[in-house]
Amino acid sequence: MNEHTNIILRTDNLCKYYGTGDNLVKAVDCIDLAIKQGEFVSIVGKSGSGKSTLLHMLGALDNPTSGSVWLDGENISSFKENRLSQIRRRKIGFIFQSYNLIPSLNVWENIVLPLGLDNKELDEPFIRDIVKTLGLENKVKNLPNTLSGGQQQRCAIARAIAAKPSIILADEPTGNLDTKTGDEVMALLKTSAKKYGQTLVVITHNEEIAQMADRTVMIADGKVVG
Amino acid sequence: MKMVFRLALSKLRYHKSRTLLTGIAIMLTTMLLMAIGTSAVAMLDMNRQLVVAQTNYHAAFRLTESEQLSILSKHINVESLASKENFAQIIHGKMNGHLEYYDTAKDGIYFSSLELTEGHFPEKEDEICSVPSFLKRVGADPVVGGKVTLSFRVNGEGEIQTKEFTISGLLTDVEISADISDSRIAWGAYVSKALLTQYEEAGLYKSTPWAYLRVYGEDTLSYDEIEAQIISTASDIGLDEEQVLCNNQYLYTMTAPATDTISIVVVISLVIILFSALVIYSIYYVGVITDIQEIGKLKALGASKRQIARLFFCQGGIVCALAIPLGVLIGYFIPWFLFPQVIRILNANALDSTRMDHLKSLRNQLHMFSLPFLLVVVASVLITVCVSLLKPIRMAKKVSPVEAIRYQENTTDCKRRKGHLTVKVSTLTWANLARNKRRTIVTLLTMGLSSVLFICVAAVMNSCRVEDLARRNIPEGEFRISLDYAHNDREYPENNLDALVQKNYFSEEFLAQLSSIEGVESVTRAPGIILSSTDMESTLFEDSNDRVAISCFTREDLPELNEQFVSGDIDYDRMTANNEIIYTHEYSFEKYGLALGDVLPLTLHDGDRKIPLTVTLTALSQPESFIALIIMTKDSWDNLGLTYDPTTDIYVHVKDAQYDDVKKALQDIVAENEHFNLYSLDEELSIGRSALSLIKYPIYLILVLIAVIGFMNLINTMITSIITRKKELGILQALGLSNRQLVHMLSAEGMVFTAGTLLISATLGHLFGYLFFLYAKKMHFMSLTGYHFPIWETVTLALALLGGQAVITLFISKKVKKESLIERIRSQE
Amino acid sequence: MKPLRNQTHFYQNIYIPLIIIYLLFTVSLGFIGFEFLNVQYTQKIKLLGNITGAVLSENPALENILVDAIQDTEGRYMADGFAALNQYGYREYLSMYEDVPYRNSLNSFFFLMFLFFFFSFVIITVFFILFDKKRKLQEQKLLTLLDHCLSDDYSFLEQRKDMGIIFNEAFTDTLLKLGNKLMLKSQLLAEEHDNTKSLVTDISHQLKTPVSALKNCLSLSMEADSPEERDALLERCTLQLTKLESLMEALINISRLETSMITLHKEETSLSDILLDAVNAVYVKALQKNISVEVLNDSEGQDEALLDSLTLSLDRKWTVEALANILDNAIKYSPAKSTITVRLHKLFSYVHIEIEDAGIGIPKKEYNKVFQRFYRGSHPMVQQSEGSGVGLYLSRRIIEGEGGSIMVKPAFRQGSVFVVQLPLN
Repeated sequence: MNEHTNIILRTDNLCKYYGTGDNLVKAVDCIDLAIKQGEFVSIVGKSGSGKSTLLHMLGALDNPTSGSVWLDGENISSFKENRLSQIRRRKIGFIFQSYNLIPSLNVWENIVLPLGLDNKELDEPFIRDIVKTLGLENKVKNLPNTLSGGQQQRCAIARAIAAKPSIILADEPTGNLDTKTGDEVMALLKTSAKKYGQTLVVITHNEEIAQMADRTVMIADGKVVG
Repeated sequence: MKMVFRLALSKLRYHKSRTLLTGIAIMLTTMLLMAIGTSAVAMLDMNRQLVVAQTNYHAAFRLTESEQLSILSKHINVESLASKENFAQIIHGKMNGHLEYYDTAKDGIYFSSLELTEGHFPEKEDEICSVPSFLKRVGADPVVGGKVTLSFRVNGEGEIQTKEFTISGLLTDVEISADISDSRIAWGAYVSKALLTQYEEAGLYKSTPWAYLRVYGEDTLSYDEIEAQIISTASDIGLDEEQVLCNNQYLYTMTAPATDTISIVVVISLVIILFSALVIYSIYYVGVITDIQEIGKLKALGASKRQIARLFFCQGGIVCALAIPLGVLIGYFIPWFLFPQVIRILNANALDSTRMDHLKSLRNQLHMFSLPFLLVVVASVLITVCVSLLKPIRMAKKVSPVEAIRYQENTTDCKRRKGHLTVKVSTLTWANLARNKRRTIVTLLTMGLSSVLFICVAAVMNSCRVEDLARRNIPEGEFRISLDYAHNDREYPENNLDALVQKNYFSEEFLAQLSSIEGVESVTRAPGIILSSTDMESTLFEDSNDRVAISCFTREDLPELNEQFVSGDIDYDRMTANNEIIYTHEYSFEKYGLALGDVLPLTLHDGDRKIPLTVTLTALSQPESFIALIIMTKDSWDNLGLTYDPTTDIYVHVKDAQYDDVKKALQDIVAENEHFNLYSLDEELSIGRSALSLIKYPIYLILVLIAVIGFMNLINTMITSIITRKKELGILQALGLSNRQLVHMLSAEGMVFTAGTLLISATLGHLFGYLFFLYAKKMHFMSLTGYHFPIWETVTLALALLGGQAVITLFISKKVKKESLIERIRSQE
Repeated sequence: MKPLRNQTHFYQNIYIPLIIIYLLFTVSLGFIGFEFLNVQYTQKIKLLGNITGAVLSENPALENILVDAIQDTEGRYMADGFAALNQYGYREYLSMYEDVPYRNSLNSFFFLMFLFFFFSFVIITVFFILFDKKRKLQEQKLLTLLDHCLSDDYSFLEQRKDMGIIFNEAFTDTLLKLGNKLMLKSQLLAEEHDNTKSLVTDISHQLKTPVSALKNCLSLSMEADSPEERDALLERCTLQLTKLESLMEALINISRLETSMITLHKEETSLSDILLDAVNAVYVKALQKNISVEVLNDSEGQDEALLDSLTLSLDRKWTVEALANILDNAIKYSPAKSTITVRLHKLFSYVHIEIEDAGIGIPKKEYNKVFQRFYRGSHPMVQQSEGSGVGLYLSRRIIEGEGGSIMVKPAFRQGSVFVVQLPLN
């Protein structure tokens, strides 16, 4: 029972189908998954295996065809769009392969953006600490396009952590980075998540990166294979 | 080429909203140009038809011998020829009637007053033909074969003869409005050659015909060339210029179609073109920025710069191919439907009843279509599109394949941003606008420009007051009785002012009679007018039939003269001493090339007297209340020692309560004299109102359409702002931006444009509006006097902008909601 | 003679048609001009007849003087004539253009000229467009042909007739020659490739038999019952004991770590000291296998100098242990006389330490398992060698405990790379 309460994210029979008839594509096919609080789970699969679709559904970006996603004991697949945006900004932090910083905002503003969207009061020391942890102290006023890829991704990590979400979802976070920077970003991601006690789910096709996780879920053709 | 075409087509289909917006902008531009041009063509054609409907002769020669007629008919230059002789004056009460003889020597001359409805022209000596209304007036039954007895004096002198005529034909009757005293119409009845010969042989009549002729080359020659042809023809048969009377109105209309109209059309068209070029440019400019990656990919695939340029031209061409014909059609049909309506409104108001008679008949046969004009419109729109494509194409050409793949629209050079400690939705809005500075500015500029244009025109239009227009005709009092005189009518010299003053219509008894009407408070005389001719070569005198009006001003007028003072030096005493004068129309002052210090040798026509007077032009002022072009001091005026009373206008002040009764009484009095015209304030007001609305609404319509074109730009900017940031918006939503916040953010961006536009129009608009007003006032446009702040227009503009903004926001929020978040995140940057 | 062919092409296709068109237009223009003049002349003659008739019908006596005047070239009567005609507007110096009805016929002439120009323009344009189309077709065909060449499709060599329609003979010849030569070369290349392949197969086949023979021989010798054999067994026992001892030690460490009996005491430590200690710990083992350990500073610029004096906040003892475990592991599975390379790289937040060996490497599937407790690789060499599957697990625990990370990657040629990232602050 104890283990059960510790679970922060759970999917029940989660499915996502595209198209109909002969064109039916089962991007995610009946996946049951349970992620514990504070766990670092890597989801590994080749491109097209449905791992991104799975992550999108975990992050309330996409609606499942059937099945449900439970986050913090709530079935988020039944929520309306408005509630979903709240969930996204309060409970979920996203990190994307292409960083996806808002180009018109500077680094600081990018980091505090999810807080701003939620009209939350800023925990400035906390943010400063994150910025320091991620080595961005000198770059807070810079616009994203003046940063290197690694710096941008570190900024994205900071953004994901800033709102103190329950879970951080990272989609190929090192995909656009060179090996060393990728290693560094992964290490940072892992240590930061640990430091701030956040659950981390990383999607990757790179098994080298997956080894840093506490647990690895292999996905192929929309199904969990190991 | 085929590939480029196909690519262009698919791009157009892909960027549907942009294609639609450019299409609409191009279509509106074409439509506006076409509508304005077509209206102008129709207007010119209307003038033409009005002129042609009366008569089509080029010149009238006062022949000295009847043989000259046969020489003229064989003259190499003469296309057609007719002759008219004034045989005798009809004696019938106060009627102004003549017995005339008309003959066509060479076919082609047309007089609307000489169209037979029945019968034939007189052949036998006792035959006569005329209009039915004349025949009724002299007490005859207007039927062919009927008899009429007339008294007349041959050549207007000698014994009164009485003769019984048989009616051989009836002419087209003239429609006579009720308010025109029919004694003012010059009646004509036509007799036969036989009658003339009879009197001639008896030695009672000397034939001195007028020859009405047309020369060859109306279609090909200019006004001056035709005039030269006419003069040389006259000199060929031994006539000098004095005996030649050119039908100037007809010739001007046929050869030099109203340059004023054309220049106005050209100016408006240029404004529209400039404006739409800006809009189309900005749409394409934004388009290139959006497409930079795609262009880069094309380049990476090996597309050459020329192919890229061709791709853009191809896109523009396809849009034009659809939008221009549509615009041309709509632009043609709007005036096609509206113009007759406008004419009907004009008709209802009967600005000028004699002219309007003709309008009724030609309402539906206006010739509005002009192929050269259509081609000019199409060409100018195409050129506009091409020019506005040039810069975006140059940008697209510069795109390098590498740059394209990682290009991020960043027109600003800044690397850092001060930013805020916390981020709100509004922060996002501002940050985005600041990032796309150039796009923001271009959009704001186009929108601002259209609103400034609107406010400018609104300022002038709002300052046009019906009262001002009415006061132009009735400077004081409620009624004006005016002497209807001609400056220098050679055909009917009895209508000239110098002849009329001898009759002293505005005698003290007449004024006393007016004062005695119940309800009349007072009757005042307007300053008198005398006419003056000069020996000097001057276009001023030529244009006003060789005579200009002169009046006087008193010391009491000095404040007004000084207020409207333009240049020179006004000093009453010095002016009296030195015979100095003031010129009262700045615009024509420049037009006639006059200068201060000019010495004018004048000959004043005081009835049958001629007073030589040399004056010096020392000042230029633009007072509203003077009708005469030249004014001198009252003292100089008195020193002239005029024999006749020069009053041409009297003003009647009445009590409001008895306005209608007085009007009726005055109408009766005025009807008795053919030379009186009555102007009443209520009629002038309604005429002014309709004249104002005739100008106001079309101009507002044009402005609204310009504003709509400008709005296209806003729509484009906002839609582009969604399309280009599709992914960014997706990310924002992934970070927790709710749909509502998203719509707020986007509409806030639009609000910035709206607010900016309003700010520009409130500041620059009113500033330029006032300057424009001052200019218009200087040009004496619509009798502008005081500046009236266009409050309602500004409010309307603000409401329209906000309304449009709301519509766009609604549209955008729908669009935003339709697309799923995941689509946005997945979309390629 | 061959360049001439190209010229005939030009003459045939452009020059001659152009000349013909030009001639055609000149002749027809001349014809129109002639007709125009002719009409004028006829009118003049008719006019003369008319005047003569008019005058003679009134006054036959004037016949002589009239014919005189017609044939007179000096214009003796002209002055008198124009004196009378002037009032009708006829003047001696009246130009054709001043007579407006006459001008109209002149205008129609000009219009005709314009039409002529326009049509000639259209015809020439059409001609050029057609010519251009043919040129484009040739280009297109040529490009397709070259594309075929590039993709080793030489079927066009058989379609000489089709090519002859579009290109002239010389062009076709050269193209076919080029195609033939290219085809031959590519066939040659393919043959060479096949040869290499079979060579490799042959060699590996030759190697297989002696290796298996060697293996059989070894297993037979181990079954002998001599004292020498016992010595050997004893030796193997000692080896096993040592192995067991080290395993015990590792297990104790783990149990301490897991039960938090040891804590990491962070102190300012020089990175070079830690590395030195770690290398020293495995120095003997390396020496035994004749393996050299190389420490390289991979940083560029000023970082190079910084790295030497870099101090990190770490527990010195345990960090050394962690690194030594990795190095030990590397030495264990590396062949003798190979090199283990330690590369240092300073990143923004971490010191990136790569430990590369030339050993057996780790299969991808086992990447996330090697750091697990008691996990031993599936490779036979791992199974045979001593070891408990504890060292790497311990290293991971220590390094992650200090805020760093550790992972394994395949080396560029052979072996594995262990990546250790130690936090800078």
